[in-house]
Amino acid sequence: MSLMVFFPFITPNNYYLHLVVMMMIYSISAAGLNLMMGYLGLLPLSVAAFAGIGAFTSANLMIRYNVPFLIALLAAILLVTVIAVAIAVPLLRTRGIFYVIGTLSSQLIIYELFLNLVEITGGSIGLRGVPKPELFGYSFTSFLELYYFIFLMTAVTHSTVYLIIKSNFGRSLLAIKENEVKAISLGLNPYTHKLFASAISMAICSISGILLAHYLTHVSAENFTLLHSIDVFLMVTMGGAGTFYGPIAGAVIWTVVMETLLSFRGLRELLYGIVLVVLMLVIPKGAMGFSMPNIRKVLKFPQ
Amino acid sequence: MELLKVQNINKSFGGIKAVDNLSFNVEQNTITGLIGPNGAGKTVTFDIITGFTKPDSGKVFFKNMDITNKRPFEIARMGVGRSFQLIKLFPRMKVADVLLFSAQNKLVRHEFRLFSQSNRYKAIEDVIASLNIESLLNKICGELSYGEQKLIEIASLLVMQPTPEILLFDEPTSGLSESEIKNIINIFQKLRERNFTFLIIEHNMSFIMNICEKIIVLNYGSKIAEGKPQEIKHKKEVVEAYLGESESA
Repeated sequence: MSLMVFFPFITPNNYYLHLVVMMMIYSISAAGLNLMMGYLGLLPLSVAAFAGIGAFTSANLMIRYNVPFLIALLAAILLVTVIAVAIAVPLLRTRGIFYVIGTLSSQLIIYELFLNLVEITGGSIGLRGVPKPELFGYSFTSFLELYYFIFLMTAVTHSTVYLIIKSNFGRSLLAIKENEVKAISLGLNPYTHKLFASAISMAICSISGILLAHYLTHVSAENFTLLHSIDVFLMVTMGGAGTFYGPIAGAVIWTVVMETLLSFRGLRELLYGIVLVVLMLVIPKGAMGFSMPNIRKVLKFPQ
Repeated sequence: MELLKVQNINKSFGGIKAVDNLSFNVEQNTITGLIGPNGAGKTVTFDIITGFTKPDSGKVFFKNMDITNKRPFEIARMGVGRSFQLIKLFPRMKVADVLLFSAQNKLVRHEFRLFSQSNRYKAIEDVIASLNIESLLNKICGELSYGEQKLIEIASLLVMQPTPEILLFDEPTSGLSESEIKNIINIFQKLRERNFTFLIIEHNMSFIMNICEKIIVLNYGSKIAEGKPQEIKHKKEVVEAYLGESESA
């Protein structure tokens, strides 16, 4: 934490500051997905789509109607929650792979809408000139101000997630993942819990999209493709699903790996694949599930 | 008074009749045994009572309320606790968390309270003391022995709020050692003194003869006998279908 606070003063240039900001933004959507993936045991592939809905909503509200940032943010989160519930109502009646496919198709459909609702989203060009975030009339324009603003938002979001995980609700989600039938026999209605979890999870993911739009001041459909959903999934997996620090660690690892690989140009995708395989072999439970016995087991190469 | 009343239930899976026009009552504050060969429909009957399976026809009453079409979690909240034949706990959760989960109010709107309800902790403490499981609290469920898991399963039912009035146990002694079985008998007898009602599926005949007031014998989904343990032991149909010659001798 304190490292994050003082990071701007020790970093050599703004490029690293930018990377840290991106890590923070990613860690929010990873934390959102982790609620579903690590705690409830469902894998929605529509994370990017909901981040996009949030981003376009708050960007439009600020550009067209001059709505204050805080209200635009809350309105966008509210809209995402409503849409998430509307989509989850039918989807949660499916199980296992069918749920994944259902969320996959909602991701694809929403992405197509982003491309084609040119009036709202600017189509493939996207929206330019999204206002910088402001709070009570104070606009965060300089890089340093933006850094601290996003740090604050990230801290608030992760604290909220922490409270949810540690609440009775968090424990119930875990129980559903571990053994749904037993949880039902103890008097739990899994459907309402899954519905609430979907809404909360997607609302959190949308915060990352909103921050991204106002940080970059430019947002387009290309920021919210299926690939981005999968990237968030990889972050949670690499960091450790079902742990509080997992998504944060995952976002850091992912950003570092991607930026390091940038210099390899043509070999990038190949190396990315190799890195993923190695990471999954060495830390199958993610960075937070890191343990030496596990490493030894892998190094012995079972026959 | 009848706490649980099963009326003419039928259930078929494909062409196979799993439960065939089965009716029986479970009196309040008694221990009733449900026995029969494998595949006789005992577990399906449990599933129908607890709402996990819907019967093709027939009705189930609990405290004179029709619960046939209620959903499983609603039936559980009304006061019907059940265990499963293969222990179904939460393998990667701590025992303490399992008990807290079992005890908590499971309506979503109650689950975001920052301050938990202390009266529920009291219930958990009582159960921990009476089952003597304090040493297990910080262990992970999946790492417990079979007998310990059975104890935690019983505990998880007892801490439920509201406390279940009837407990349905599906083979509570399977896979347990003699001393562990004795412990279970002890626990059940203590619980009965506290006004619990039991319905137990069991293959362990000495256990069931020892503890039950009434035994219901199923074969091919229908009831072939019902009565006190001593009467059941000598009925011709029961001996042929289930007990075998040597045991009745």
